[in-house]
Amino acid sequence: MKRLIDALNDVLATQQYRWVSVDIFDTLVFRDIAQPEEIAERAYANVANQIPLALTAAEFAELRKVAQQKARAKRADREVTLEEIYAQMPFSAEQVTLLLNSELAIEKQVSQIADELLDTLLAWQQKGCQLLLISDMYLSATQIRETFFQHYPALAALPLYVSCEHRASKVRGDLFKRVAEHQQIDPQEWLHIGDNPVADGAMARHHGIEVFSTEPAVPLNLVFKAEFSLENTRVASNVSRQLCSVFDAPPEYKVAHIIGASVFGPVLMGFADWVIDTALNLKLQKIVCLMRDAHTLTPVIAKRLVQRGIDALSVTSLSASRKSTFWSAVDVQQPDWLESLLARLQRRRGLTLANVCDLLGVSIPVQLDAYADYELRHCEKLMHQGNSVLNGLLQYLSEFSSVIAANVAEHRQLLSDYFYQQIECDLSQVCVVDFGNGGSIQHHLEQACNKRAGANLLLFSSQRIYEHNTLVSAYFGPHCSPSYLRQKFRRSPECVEALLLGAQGTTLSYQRRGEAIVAQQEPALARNGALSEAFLHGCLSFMQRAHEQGGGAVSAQQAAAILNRYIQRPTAQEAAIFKQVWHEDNFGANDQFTVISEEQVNWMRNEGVANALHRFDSEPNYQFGFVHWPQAVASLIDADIHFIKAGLISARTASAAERLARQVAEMGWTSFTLYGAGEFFQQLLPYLHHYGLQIERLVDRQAELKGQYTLHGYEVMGLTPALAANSQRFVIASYAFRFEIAERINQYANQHGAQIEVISL
Amino acid sequence: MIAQIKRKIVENKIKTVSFDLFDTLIFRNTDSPTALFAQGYHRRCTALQGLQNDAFADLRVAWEKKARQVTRAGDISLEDIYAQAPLTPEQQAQLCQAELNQERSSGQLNSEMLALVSSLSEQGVAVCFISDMYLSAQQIQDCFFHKANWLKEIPLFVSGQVGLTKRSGELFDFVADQLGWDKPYWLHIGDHTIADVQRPEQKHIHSWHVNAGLPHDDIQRLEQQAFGVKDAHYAWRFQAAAFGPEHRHSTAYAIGAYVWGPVFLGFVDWVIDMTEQAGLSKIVCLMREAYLFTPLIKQRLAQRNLGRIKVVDCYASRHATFWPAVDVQAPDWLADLLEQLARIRRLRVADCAQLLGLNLSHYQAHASQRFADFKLQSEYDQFWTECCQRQELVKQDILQQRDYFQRYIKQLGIDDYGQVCVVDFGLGGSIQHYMQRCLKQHAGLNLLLASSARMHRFSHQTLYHAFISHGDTQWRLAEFLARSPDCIESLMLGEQGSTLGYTEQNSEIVPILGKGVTANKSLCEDFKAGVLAYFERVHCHDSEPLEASRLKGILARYLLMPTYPEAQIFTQLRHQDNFGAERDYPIIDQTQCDLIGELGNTEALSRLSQYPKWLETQVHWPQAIVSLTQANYFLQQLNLTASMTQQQAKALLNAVNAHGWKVFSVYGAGQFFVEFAALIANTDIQIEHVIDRQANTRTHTEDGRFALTTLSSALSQGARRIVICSFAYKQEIAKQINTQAQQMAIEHLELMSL
Repeated sequence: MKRLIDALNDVLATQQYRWVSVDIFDTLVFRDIAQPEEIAERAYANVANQIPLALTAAEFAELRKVAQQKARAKRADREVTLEEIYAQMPFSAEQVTLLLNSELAIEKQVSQIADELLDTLLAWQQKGCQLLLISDMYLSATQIRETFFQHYPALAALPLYVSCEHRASKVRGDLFKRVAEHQQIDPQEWLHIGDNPVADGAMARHHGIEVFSTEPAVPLNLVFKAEFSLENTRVASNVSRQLCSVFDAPPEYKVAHIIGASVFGPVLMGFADWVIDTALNLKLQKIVCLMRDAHTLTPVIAKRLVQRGIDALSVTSLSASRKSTFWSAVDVQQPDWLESLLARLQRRRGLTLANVCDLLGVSIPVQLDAYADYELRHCEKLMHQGNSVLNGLLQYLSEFSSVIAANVAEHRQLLSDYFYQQIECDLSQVCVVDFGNGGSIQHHLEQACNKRAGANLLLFSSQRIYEHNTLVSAYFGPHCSPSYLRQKFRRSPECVEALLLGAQGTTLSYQRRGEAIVAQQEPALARNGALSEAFLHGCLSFMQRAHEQGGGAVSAQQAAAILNRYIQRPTAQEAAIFKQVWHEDNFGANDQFTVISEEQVNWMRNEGVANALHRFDSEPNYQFGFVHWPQAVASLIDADIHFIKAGLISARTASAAERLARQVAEMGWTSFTLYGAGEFFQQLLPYLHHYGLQIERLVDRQAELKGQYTLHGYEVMGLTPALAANSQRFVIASYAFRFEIAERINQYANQHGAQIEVISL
Repeated sequence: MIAQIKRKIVENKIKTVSFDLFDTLIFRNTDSPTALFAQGYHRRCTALQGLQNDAFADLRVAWEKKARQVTRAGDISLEDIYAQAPLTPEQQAQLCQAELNQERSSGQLNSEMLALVSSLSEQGVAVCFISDMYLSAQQIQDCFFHKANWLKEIPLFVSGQVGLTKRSGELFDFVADQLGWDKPYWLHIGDHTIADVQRPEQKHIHSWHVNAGLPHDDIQRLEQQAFGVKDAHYAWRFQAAAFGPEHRHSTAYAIGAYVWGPVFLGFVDWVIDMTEQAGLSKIVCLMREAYLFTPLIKQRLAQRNLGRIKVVDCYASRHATFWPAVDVQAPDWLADLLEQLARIRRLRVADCAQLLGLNLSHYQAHASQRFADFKLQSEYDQFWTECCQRQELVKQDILQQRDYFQRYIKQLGIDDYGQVCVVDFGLGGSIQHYMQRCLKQHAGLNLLLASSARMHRFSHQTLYHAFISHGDTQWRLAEFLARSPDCIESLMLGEQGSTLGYTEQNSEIVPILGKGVTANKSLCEDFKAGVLAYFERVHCHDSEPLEASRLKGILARYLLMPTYPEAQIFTQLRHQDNFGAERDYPIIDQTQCDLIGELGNTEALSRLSQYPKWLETQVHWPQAIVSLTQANYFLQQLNLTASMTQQQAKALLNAVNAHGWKVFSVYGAGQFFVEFAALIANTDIQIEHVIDRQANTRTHTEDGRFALTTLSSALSQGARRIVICSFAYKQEIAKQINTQAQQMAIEHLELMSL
């Protein structure tokens, strides 16, 4: 699988660029922090004892953030230096120096150069490429060199252009122009590498520069922000998540890899540690992961055992499924075992009367032939000749009870023998691990072996673990916070289950072949294979990088925060791959279906996303069996819905401006009248350029009150003159007053008899 | 409450009094019994197969459920519960003992109730204890009465031993028989609406409901489920709210005791700690919030024996401090002043003209227009000209007010402003900033309960600390509190009018006060009393205040998911804007409800979450309006209204309706049936027979509405359609019915279950 660096080498080899410019932050330099504010907090904490103020680190970080906004607001070009930012804070000159230096020291401490990119660039420099660095940043070139490139003389020697020094930026495009003039570059010979789609992408292209994007396929900054802000959790190893996502993802299956690297890598590493610690505490000898989830769980735990240098424990996989172990749970010593058996089969969704007969190795009774395709769970209520169909079936099966009992006994023995043959260890010395949610297979194993396992562990559990007498613990169990996470995971295990399974077919049964017992498996589900491999690769790649970073441990709280964000607020990119992920019900109906279908999307679109989400919250089982992962379906309809609701995307952020511009472009509008000439308009302008959109007229209420005026080269007018000039398409550039503005436009349009269309956030 | 109970005893000539035990006389200092199970398990030395504490608690609940399902008696014992555990008898016994040990260490007797029991006993009133509980009488006495041995002499009836429950009403009959009590002269005191109030009343026994005055169970569930609040002083909060003085038994009191008490205790301790750490000795509370803050801080200082720190009230408002803070030496001070006035949201042209001493009649046509809008119109030119003409007079007035303010501060005994801690509610910190400008000195500390982004207008000059900081993004608490400060502000102000300025009387500087909101007086007094009651309760039990993260959860629940009664009192409260001080307005009125109602709650909340400032000036606390229009909205949103049993009962009723059954019998008279019966209460469905295997020992269902019968009796009386009201044992029950029907040669029988 090709990775980002291979793709870059291909581009550079094909096009023979003379100049290669590189963005710095999140492209070449990565910082291991939960949120940018963390730098300020840590900077303050480091010197707080030298400053006689009662400020907390969080308060300082807030002041620092506001100071940056204030400093920017004072300059038309909005480009400010670190010194100008600190000048906005109520500190003495000595305190400013102390804090500013502390901030740079923390930057140095948390930053890391992407070595693979650097090595590649230097190799091309050797081949004659001219390298230069361009950054939209408040740090000066000297500060950047001293802070980040101290141990990289080759980098420190490169020309470096920083927005705050040139008072020009990539995001507005003038910094590219400045660089071109300064270095006498012909844009046709220039490749720019960077992660920001507007500053490094659209604006570079706008100046005729070719672009190589390092933007991760999932908006990780938004993901990190959600984890930090909403879950109130600082996740360690973010830099590993980022580096894996940018540099290790194969181009064909980027998102599956990133879900592995940024979500389940950390989650499963935390889980693996918990499993290992539990097994060690209980002095067990082996960890046994049940197939098919063992496809992912075994290599993850094995890797973690190696990373932690533990050789007293080993991990292995065991082919077992609910279907293959089901028989072991039947206790033919009980007087009413046949009824109990049918009762348990009744719980299987989709299992028909014909399936049951097949399972039990008997033909369908002639008198019940008409009911062959009815699900067993409904047969209790179906009446046939004064008797329920279920009763009829029971009476029929009673005739074969000794045969069935013998079968059951044989199955139990097979499972028990298979277990000992594969594991070579007493069950009581084994920690049995499965994905979730009811621990049925673990229960069946205990029944077959007629003893308790050393421990039965699940990634997550549901109330079903209390249905049997097997003790089961879960990583995301009743103790987990937030408390609803477990319920949401139980509602939508499809959000990951298929990715964990690889192409493995489910285990159907066991057969003796001479001395050996072999597991019979269904044909592999090949269509998930590549996605699943990319996912596993992502998980392992995260573990590798996190371990190399020197830490790596993920706490249960961090794992819960990561998982909760993923389930509750999937990004549109994460959601989209589940249109290609197939899920297979491995008992009951044996259906295969894509986790998200067009039918589900259309249904939610009709229902209204806000209403549907409200309904899913208040009735967790609403549309169960049809809409498998409601939050992901919502993300596909409206990529920002979860983040807007959570206040992570607002009118004040650039993401809202980008969203509006994207929305307009998607509607196919190329020119329109913009209503609103405030702060949001100024944020919107670069994105309008990015999407090649033209403003016909600019309208604002201020112009109605105090007359027309000019702003950024646009004449700002009232609504009446705009309608008189035949404005028909309006974009509302205000979040606060969008409903009121829409109403105003409609009223005016009605008065003027105009046909209008309106787009707003 | 105790006085009211005593009066009821006298008025009704009560001769015998029974007390419920748990959450009436005995309180456990844990969130819930489940938390207690986890703690008990935790104290055990060895874990079971790596089982965590909360996972064990969950299992323990499941075992209890199973024990209840299999029992043939009316109730179960602790030993019955642990018998369900898939463990060795030794392990079961160990766990059982661990739970009892935990009960013993976490249980406490409520002092007010204890005193009541004592005084009644001394007066010769017969007393007994009645509890629906799985612990035996001996276990209860050992665990909870060891510090008051005399309680062991009082008769104690426990459902787990007697086999009858209060909830069914049968335990009351049993007690009446055993003690020979006469029901019309009997008072039962307890906290459970059904078991302690409805059932005794059905039996013609007087009852007294011990309650917090708020739906505290709902609040607790919301806090825990939506905001992850754990170990949050629920016992103290409940007792502070429930055992208040007779004249303070209002919702405002309950909100103070149960909700804001913990928040203010955390805040007040933070203020005191910050003051101490900064080496300051005086706390200045700004009016009008000082009405509440000063007594709270004083009480807490006394509780913490910190007599060296003094607290004073300071009459100051944005109105009174803004004016003297104007820097009249600045070159464009007048234009700047008018620009600042234009930023004040509710300031009208008339207010502004009055402030500047202009002739109001010149602007009569615009008097009620927002000054900010007026400033953009051509008529403003005349206004500006007139201001310029009065510039010197305005300047003198400003300087005069500044002099008064400086002298007023000295009068408060503040010689060095750098040595005081100034406390205000929030959000923008304007008053503290203006005060520093007037006094030309930084305060030792400027503390706010909550800050908003507005604080940063001044943060380059004035340093603030906020208990709930603007930068705190979890649950968007700070953002929504800044959006809806009305959810608390008016409860903190009493009937005080805002400070409009200062004047000199007999060489003393006195504040000029605006008209207060007298309508709020009693609610504010109740609220304050509630908060103080919580302070006292925590102090008496030598507890630490809750940590900030839990307090934020408690506050976030209140702000974002208020219950109906919490919202309802804001229809009575009025708020006064403290700049244009003459006007007050209702915090919630019908117009606001209509605005939300037109959209529907879900759409309104969706808009609000997208843009918190949506309808900011028209709807002050949207979440409260949602609760007013749909009391259980937030509980429903989190799926907390319906228990699993309720959901199953609903599903069964759907199946019944789908088959068009109108008349049938029911098998199973447990909780499932109670929920099912409640659902069909107002339908045309008829239940012929209620079959239960306990029909031989019990006569009626728990609510007393249906007689119980045996299966054979129901079948022989013609029952042919039977709905099975059990989820866990539906197969077994179906089998039992079929077997019985076969034995009785019944051919046509229809069963329905989930």
